[in-house]
Amino acid sequence: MTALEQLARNLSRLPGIGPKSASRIAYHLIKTDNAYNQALSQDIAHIQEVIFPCSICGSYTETDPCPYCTDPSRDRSTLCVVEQPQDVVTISASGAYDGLFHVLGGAINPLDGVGPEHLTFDKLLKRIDEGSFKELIIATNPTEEGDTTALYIRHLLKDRPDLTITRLASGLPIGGDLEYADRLTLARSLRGRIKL
Amino acid sequence: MRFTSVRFDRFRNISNSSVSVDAKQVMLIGPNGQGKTNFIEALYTLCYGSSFKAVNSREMIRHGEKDFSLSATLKNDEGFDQTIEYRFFDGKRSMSIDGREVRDRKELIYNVPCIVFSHDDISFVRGEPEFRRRFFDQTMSMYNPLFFDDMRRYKAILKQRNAAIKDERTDLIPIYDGQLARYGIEIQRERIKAVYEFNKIFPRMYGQVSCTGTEISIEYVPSWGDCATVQDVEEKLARTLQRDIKLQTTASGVHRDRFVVVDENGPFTLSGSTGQLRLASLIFRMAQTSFYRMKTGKEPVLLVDDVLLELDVKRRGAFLEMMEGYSQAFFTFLPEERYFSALADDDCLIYDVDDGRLSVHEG
Repeated sequence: MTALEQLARNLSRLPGIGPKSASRIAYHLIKTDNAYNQALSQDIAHIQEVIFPCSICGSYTETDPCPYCTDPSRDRSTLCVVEQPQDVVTISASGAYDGLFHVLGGAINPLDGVGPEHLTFDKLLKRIDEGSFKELIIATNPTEEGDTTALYIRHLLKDRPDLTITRLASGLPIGGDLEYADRLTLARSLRGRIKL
Repeated sequence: MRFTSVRFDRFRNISNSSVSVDAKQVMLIGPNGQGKTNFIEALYTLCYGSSFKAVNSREMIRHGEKDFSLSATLKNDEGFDQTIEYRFFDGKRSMSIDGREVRDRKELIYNVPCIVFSHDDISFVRGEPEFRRRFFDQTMSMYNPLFFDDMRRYKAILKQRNAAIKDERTDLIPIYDGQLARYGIEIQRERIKAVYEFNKIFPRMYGQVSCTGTEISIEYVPSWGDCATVQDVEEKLARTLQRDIKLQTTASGVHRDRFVVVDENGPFTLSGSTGQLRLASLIFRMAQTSFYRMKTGKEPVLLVDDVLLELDVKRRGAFLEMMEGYSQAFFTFLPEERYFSALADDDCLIYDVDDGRLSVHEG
């Protein structure tokens, strides 16, 4: 195998990169400025040394605890539960949430061998017991596994009626015309309609 | 929606070619083994992204080749052209509509509604309950995207619940019970409604074509028939959990619902003759066509593959008279079936099919 094939093969293991894209990127890297290649390879080599999960919430950070957990201006009475560390960034970027986060590390999926013991529920319960949370926002994905995980959390917290548990809404995209919504999205939005 | 042309490339025994099909009726005439059904299969594959015959797309590759592709142009009800392409390349299949890749096959269900009449349809009447369940799921999914989605979700949760049973994850089972109940009750409600409405069409059609006094209809026997609410189902699942653990599977639920064809005396399978059962299976498809039109106001494309041969002259006539309300229909006939000319109207194309080659029929 040539060095080029080796590089393309390694690139094609990245998520979202197929053999064609991998080969295109590999050819691009041959032509490109060497300083860029050096910087890129350094970044890749060091990423796992400088980034690690926060010991409190599990989001990726360079300092422990992470900036979300230590920021005094954040609302300490709401906790948003997500599946993956990258979901923290997505929700944070919406600008509509200023509470704390908790990363589960996935969703319950017995078919893939993922049970509750593989996720950070123990840590979540401990945080809730020790903290002063009033609301728990469950922001797991709108998949069957995400639903199961959300319902499991509600089940774990059935003895905490003081805690408001909410789930992200799903439905029509903002700014879209009804006539462009696909039939399923529209049908589901009708089922999940809310009272004005 | 109407197909105007179809292009074949290394598909089964059909020669690489582009065939015009721009007519309301397209008839394919030829002896067995020449490629008539393959042609029908190609159209179906373009509509739904999978075959009604082959289990694996690989089976549709011409002998000695590695890949194949199909494409078609269609004219929709508003008169706009659409191009659909199906490719099987490097062991992977992909589809596009007007050059845009189709990511989820559910996008296809509502694109070109098509209904295939085939020999295997007899299993709707004579086969295992699963075949009738599949028939009704298909019928309902064609007009009800929410039903299709509920069904998909139900099946995914059912698999998880069964995995949880096998792994003895008893803490998760109540969670899955709640989810199964939620989707299952919706599915049951929709099925009750659909069978009620189907029974307004199906028995009448059968009566018209069978020319006998026998009245047949569909009886829906839900597995959770004693449950009306999500809570009822949750309680039932909790009550029967020990049995499910013993069986290592979820033994009740809408995946075990039965649809029974009945006449005045009970199950029709026991009393009907083979001819009557065959006819009833055709009526299933006719009723599906009519039901779809009633629900959506749109006319489907019909693919009628070799199913008329077994009807006697009188019933065939009655059946063909009833065939209406379609946007386009493809028929396959053996050369000795002379009646195709009687069926043809002005907007009709007739092809002879010989060893995978199509030529315009003479005379």
